[in-house]
Amino acid sequence: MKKHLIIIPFIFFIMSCERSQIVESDVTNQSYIVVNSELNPYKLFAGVTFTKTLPVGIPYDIKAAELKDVTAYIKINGVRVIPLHYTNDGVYKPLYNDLVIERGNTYELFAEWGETVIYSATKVPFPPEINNVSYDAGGNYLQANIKTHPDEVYGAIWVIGSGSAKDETFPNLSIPEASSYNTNVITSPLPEQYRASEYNGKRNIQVYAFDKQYTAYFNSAKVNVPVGNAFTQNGGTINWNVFGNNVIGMFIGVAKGNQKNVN
Amino acid sequence: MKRIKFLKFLIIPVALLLFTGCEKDKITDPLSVKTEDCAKLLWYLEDEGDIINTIPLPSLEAWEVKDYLGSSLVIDLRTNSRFIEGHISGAINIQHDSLFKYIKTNYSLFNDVVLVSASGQSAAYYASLLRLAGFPNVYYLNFGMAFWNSMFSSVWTDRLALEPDTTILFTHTDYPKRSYSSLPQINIIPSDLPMKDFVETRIEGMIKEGFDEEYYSSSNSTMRFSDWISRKEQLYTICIGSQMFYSSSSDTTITYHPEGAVLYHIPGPADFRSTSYLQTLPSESPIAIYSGTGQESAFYTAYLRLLGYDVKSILFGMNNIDYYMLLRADEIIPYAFQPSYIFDYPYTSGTGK
Repeated sequence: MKKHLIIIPFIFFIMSCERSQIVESDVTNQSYIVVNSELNPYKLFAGVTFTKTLPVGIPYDIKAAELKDVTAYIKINGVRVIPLHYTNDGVYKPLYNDLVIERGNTYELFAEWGETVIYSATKVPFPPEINNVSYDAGGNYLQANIKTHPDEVYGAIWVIGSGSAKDETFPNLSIPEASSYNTNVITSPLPEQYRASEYNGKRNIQVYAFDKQYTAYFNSAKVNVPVGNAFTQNGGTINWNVFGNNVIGMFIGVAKGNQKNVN
Repeated sequence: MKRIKFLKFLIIPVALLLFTGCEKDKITDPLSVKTEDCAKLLWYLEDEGDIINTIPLPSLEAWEVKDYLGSSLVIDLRTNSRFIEGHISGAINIQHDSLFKYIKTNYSLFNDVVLVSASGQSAAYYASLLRLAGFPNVYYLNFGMAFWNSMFSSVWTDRLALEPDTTILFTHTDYPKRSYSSLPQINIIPSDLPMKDFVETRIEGMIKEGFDEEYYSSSNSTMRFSDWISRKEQLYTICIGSQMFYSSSSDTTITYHPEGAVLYHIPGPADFRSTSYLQTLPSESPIAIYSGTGQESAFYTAYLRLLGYDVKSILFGMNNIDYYMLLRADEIIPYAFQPSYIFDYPYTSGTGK
């Protein structure tokens, strides 16, 4: 009798794990709707891209991946409705393509594709304002002290000259304290060749401000080691900020600062 | 007792694994957000060509109607008794409550459809709605039957404000548009009704409801200027047209507007686009629109009412507010009803076809 009592829970345990395996298998073949949009202050709204993932083994082709029949609109600060219409390659824009994105505004994305409802929201950050910059010779990274705004996080890259070489990623994000007005943000260490004195005066720092929602994506994507393009990452769960059944993607406010020379 | 303890020790962790170990990875959160019907209506109307903000007013002069009579269907929307008194040869008499059904059935048989009313205002209103319903070749006769023949012109000449109301303050002040506010709420029932069907049904209803271009009283979609005077404090009043029509910046003695009126540019960089100032119109309070002739305001009133705004077109426009202002600048003279421009084309009496 005791033997039976012990065996029964183990059977349950093993059966439940089998079920888990089946779920993983389904996920592999699941098609996702992919939403992508960056909202940059003072720039014309570049639109939202709606595509779908293609089955494994099918070469990527935008004509096969794009969605042409999405009903989509954005809502500004919970009030203004701007319908988005298909243009080409899955890109949806306002009819007159004359919408300028404004810093500090909140933009919500609403969309329907068939039965799928898609939603996201982002607040557009202020363009980064740099107080001062420095070069940390010990760590070989560039640093900027910047003014902060609520609900924003910051990243920085190094740029050589006018951009002949530049970093591709941020080493981390600077997440300021809610009560602070300034924060420091650093780049990755400069590659060996750009540390030499001949590059004095050619080392620049460029700071990016993001809606704080970017943090969750950044941290999850970093863990999962993206391979250049976030939408072709290697696996694992990415924290997207676009919601809907089988919907992934980012709809995010980003402000790119000017390059600032660091001597 | 030891046995029970042992079993508890074993079963509890296994049960915990059982209930927690099989959760699926969540890609995204479940969605509770719904898209709004008013936004989808606006999306649909833009996707169908946004005709309100992209085309010039589809008005035809009397000479154009006369020249193209053979290939066009001319629909006279006046009462049957007025139609019998005199109408354009070949025109048919259809009342507004059966207009939509008639157009839907017969639209494909003709190159163009010309709507004719007494003053042109109701024809402009219905032409706007029919175009929004997907009938792009619908036009209206500018100034209606009044420009066809002087026999029918009293509908206009009786309304020209030769001596403006002295209780009204006319001004050159630029009044600002309001802050952005929500679109009017629209509820599509049933919720799975295709937008095309919803729009068609709504437009058919609006046409049946009518646009009363007679001057006897204000209606759902129209307002007499005399009624505007008594209600102006409760209304958001907008002037549609060019800057010159609203207030000339170079010589402020030429053009002006009633106190409180806000300018919306039409046409050109149209201010009713979603990306411009459409949502500066208040959705919770009534709006009065005036234009040069009342035909333009009727045309835009149709669109705004379709979106759910409580809008009324001020009948006969500036002609009924201050007629002589329209004669002071070349750019706006065409908005003045001038008896000397009546074509005096022949007309037919009786029931017609």
